[in-house]
Amino acid sequence: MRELFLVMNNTVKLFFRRKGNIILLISGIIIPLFFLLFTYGGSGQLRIGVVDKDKSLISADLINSLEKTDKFKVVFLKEDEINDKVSKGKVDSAIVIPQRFEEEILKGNPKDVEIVSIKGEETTLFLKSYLDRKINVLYNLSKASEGNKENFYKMYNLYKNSPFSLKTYIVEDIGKTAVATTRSLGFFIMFLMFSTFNISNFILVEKRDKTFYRIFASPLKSRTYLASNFLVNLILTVFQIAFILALITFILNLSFTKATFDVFLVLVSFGITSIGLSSMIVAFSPSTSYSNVLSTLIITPTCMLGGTFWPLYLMPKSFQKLSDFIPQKWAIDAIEKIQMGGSLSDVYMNIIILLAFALTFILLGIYKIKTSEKMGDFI
Amino acid sequence: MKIVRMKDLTKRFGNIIALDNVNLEIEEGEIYGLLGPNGAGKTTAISIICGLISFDRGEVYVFDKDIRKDAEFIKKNIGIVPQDVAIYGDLTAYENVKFFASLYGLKGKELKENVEMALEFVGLSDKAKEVPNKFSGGMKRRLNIACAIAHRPKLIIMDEPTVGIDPQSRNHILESVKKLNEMGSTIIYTSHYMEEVEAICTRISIMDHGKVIAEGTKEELTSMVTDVNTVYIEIGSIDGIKEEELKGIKGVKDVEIKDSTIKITSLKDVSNFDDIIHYFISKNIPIRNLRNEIPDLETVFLTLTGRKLRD
Ligand SMILES: Nc1ncnc2c1ncn2[C@@H]1O[C@H](COP(=O)(O)OP(=O)(O)O)[C@@H](O)[C@H]1O
Ligand SMILES: [Mg+2]
Repeated sequence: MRELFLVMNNTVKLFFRRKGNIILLISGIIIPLFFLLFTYGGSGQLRIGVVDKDKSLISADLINSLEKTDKFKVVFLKEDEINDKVSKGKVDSAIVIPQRFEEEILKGNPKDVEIVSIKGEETTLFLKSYLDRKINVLYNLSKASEGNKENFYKMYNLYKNSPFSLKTYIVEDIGKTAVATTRSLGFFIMFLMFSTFNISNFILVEKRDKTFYRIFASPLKSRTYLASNFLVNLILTVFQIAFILALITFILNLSFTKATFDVFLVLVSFGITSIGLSSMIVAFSPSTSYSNVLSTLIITPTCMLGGTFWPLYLMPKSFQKLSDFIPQKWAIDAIEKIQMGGSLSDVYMNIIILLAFALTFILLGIYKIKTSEKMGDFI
Repeated sequence: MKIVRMKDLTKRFGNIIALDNVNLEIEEGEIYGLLGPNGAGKTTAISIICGLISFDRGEVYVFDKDIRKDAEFIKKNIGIVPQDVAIYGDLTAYENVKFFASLYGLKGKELKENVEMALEFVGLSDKAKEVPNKFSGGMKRRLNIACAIAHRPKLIIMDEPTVGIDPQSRNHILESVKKLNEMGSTIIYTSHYMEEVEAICTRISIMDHGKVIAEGTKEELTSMVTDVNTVYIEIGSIDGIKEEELKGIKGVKDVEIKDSTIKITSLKDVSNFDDIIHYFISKNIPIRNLRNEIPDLETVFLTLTGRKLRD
């Protein structure tokens, strides 16, 4: 234990003595924040054009609930105005509630609400997710009331008025800020990967500078040394994640909620994956020049494929499939789900997948180190 | 107690045989020299003693313990000065020594005192708070030594500690090797400079291509390759000198007179120096210069391998 802390302490010292490390650490926080501030500055409200063709109790209620979230500003439109208003940016999106919307819900086969927005506009996703959730609730209520209109309204009123109902589905942070946050966290994820690699790479730097030789001539066990590198990496990663989330919360004037904590958990899981990947890269690299090239060749393209820079749906279908094998995708996906109001139970699969990636990377790295130790060329 | 015992040690790196059936015994209290050209296998041998790399065949005992079983005990009692300077350029000299010493279990007051003493020993006390990135090559080499001695090891291994430094720093280091030995540590000293090894080592192994080609004290080694002793005597005039008379002195094998210099070759184990000088004095011939040619380790290496130590 004492040895572990000794080496950890030394690693932290070395980290803060080298300017490059600090610059990387700070830019990994500053750049995503700049991105957040300048690209998506302004009002957090989405303007939603609404065409209500149903004019029923439920459709009115749906529209009402949109306004209540504070994240959407509802503008009533005529159907033939939609394209004009959307393309001119007068509204961010428009929705059309179809005729017989209420009737079909009562029959148990809800119609989709049509959403019109400029193609590729990511806000659509959030709006759609919000509406899907609402309609899903209505559908479930209708199933439970077995098509009986009276029962349905009774239950619907109960549901509306219960303290945990609607509110739980009204996402704290939806709309523009959510999109901005996701993209800026995407950039953060890339920096985080370079940062974890940088710390894992300390091992190869020590090999290059020969201090590695001296350390292993001492009674210190190699696993203590490797563990200390991993732990320092984890501590700095958690620190960075906490720091950027705190800053985003502060800048966007949000409050700390369970969602913030969930995003924190997702990012920490991703951080562990990233440390695992970095450790593996280092284990398989004979030198710093090799590992530097390898890490760049791995991190940048996987970030592109994993949707950290742009939404995945903007990429060709085949690439989208490929992204299932990329940890970043699962992190971004989880963050989006949380932004849309999902809770931990909606993203636990993502977290498990991330941790499985981490475990795989770590085991491969350990395997590689064990075999080179046996061959006697670990030094 | 034998400090190090190697039996039939063989180590391969792929196709390269770095150590080929090496047998070595190092006694407590020695300054043991490993002399050999680059690639001879010195560093490999040392890395094995330190438990840093595995080997293919043979046995290695350090402090009478098997390196494969008691590596931790052995490592604890060794201080290594690696061939390549192994220090953190961004940590101060003090922090460097402190960190490495603490890996050997030193702490608190003892740690602090030992670190200060080690820096004092290598003459870096006044640079304790400076970072090695700003040091000269010689200073880095000295810090490299300080990092190996603060934990007071029984065995100190120095792998070419003087490579690439100025003569003054070199002398400082050679002096400190002797002092460390006097303070009670056994020393293993590797070098490809035969002058250094000759100057400080009590016993020497000459290595080449992974083999120990000769072993012994300096005298033992030189007598292996030659059994004669050569003296050059320069005089003003060779008038009155009779070759026959010189050859008559006991032990003299051969006499050559060239210009004003006389080369006298004698059997090594006969001491006839007095007799030779007396001959000139008795003839009233003043000696201008006298040079005794003792074969050095370079000659030994050359004779045994047909190559020079440094090429
Ligand atoms: N890690 C290694 N991998 C492959 N070959 C090595 C390695 N270390 C040393 N060698 C080879 O083993 C031989 C002995 O090297 P070394 O022990 O460093 O010699 P010395 O220290 O006497 O200069 C050399 O031929 C060297 O190239
Ligand atoms: Mg060497």
